[in-house]
Amino acid sequence: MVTSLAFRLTKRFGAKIVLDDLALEVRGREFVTFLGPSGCGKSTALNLLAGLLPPTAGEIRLDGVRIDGLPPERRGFGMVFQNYALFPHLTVGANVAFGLAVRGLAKAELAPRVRRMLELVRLAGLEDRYPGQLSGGQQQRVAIARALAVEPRLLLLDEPLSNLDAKLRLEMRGEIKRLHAELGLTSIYVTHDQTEALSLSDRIVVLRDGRVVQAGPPAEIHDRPRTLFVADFMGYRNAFPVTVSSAEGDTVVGHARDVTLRGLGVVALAPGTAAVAVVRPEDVEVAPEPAGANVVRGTVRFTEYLGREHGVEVVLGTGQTLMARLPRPVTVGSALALRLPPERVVILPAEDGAR
Amino acid sequence: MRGRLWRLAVWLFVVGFVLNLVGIVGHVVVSSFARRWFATPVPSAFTTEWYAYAWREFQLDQVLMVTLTVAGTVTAAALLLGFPAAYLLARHEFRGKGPLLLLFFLPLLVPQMTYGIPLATTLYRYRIGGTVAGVIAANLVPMLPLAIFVLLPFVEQISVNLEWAARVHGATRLQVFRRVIVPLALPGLLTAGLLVLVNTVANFELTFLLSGAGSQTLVVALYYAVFAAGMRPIYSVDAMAVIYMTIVLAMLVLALRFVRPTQMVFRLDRRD
Repeated sequence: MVTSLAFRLTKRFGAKIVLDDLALEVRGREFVTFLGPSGCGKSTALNLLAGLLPPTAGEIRLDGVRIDGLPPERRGFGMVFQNYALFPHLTVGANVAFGLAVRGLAKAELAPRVRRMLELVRLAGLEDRYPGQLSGGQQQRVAIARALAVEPRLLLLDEPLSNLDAKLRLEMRGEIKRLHAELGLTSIYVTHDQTEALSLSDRIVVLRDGRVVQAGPPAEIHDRPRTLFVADFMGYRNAFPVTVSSAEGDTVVGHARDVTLRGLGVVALAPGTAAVAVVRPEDVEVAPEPAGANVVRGTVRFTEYLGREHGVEVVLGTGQTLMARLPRPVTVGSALALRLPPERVVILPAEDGAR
Repeated sequence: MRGRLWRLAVWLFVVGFVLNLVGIVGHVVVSSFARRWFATPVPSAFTTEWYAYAWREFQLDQVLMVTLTVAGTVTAAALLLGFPAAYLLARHEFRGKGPLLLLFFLPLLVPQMTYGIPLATTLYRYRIGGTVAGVIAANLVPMLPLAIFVLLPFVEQISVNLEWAARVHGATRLQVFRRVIVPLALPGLLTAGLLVLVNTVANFELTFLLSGAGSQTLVVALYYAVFAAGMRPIYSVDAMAVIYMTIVLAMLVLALRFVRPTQMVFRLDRRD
């Protein structure tokens, strides 16, 4: 049972810095997600942890013992790849047994363990099939079983759901969460999908250009983004430049030309500084009165029916556009007053904190 | 109209090709069984004694032994050395890889005589020329690049992710090679082995330049049988040619049972 994983890693490819002193401590049984756009270094970080790439500088400690000098086969990890990476010439059973077979386990011991692993991922009875005969979802289950069969000290998952269709992705997400809890695993998960990160993780580490932009529990990343980059990644699609008028505790008031916005200040902001107020389309609501605090007015330019709600694009008096999700339909061209609830508005420094 | 003309042309070509082949091969085969054959459409009498004659006179048991030893050793050596080389070339990018590959494959492109003669001179100076070892060494010069050339795409298409997955789950480098790379490259190994085998058995120039009295392969022995001093019945030479053809054909048929050239591409990962 792993109780702690601590690492500090730098990776350069030539002159390009892929990971810039990425440091983290992971507790036993924790589910940590590296979240970021492609090219942010999240997969590289995983490959460094697995020992598949050598770090340029840094160290990895597992329960206090340095393991960065060990070759991958001696780290005792399990890994699930985006493209499954199942051995096409081996049966499902042999794929799952691979890690145990190379460790020299007797054939007689393999069969029951393979069966148990396949039961765990709900694929019992498919031992003799070949990966090519399975669906994508089944293949990924085999890949998970192969990783779990070695009883990994650390489970690494590199975008394991990206190749699956939407319905399967949801199903497998639940499976991964269940297995992590049931088996008491310590997992590091890499994804660019914020809903995956939010639903699975105990902790999310948002990466950009090889650096940590923000790290914390999902709710904190979701509700209290510290930079515009994180806010954008978490679905705060509406952004209004404002000037800070006052800041008291958590509450910040910013004003633009004809509107005053009250919101949550996550980062300390001095009055007079340039800031940006951000809010999610889902949190915008129709204002009960046409004027008041945090109310903006504009004209409906575009609507789309989304089933449960209506997506609306409103052009404000300032020329800016505002996206909203409203419970009732509105007509294109009509005037609309919208309220941005102060508890859902976040006011952030204008310059990006990541730089 | 054009379609029919086209079909006719294809037909004529096929018929011509087959007739030509049957004519040449048929003539040799018939002649090898002829007691005598002058100025008649078919020989007046048949016999198998030319085979026994050729076997005795040209020491075919010894020649066949040499042929098998040379072909077997060259094939084994080309695969054993060529596979790791192909693996390294497939997996590593480095500066000058392009020119290096070209240099490497030069023996495949250049006529064998151009480097065969200096190669032979050198090997004779070191007293390797004229021996079976000399023949093997000379044949490896073009056959090793050929093996690498054939193996390279087979290794390239094996996803690095498979190696990584094997390593993470506990396989050492050697185990990855044995359990993943080699089985997945097996069609390539068979193809390369087959090509090297057939090419070595068929190689004339290099073997001719390097072989001495006791190290002739079948083709070279055949050449000497035809052009060496002293009269030999043409029927016995034909018998020898038939033996040679039969061996090469048997090898091809046997090899094709294991390798289907049209289905050489092995299905690997779905992506990348």
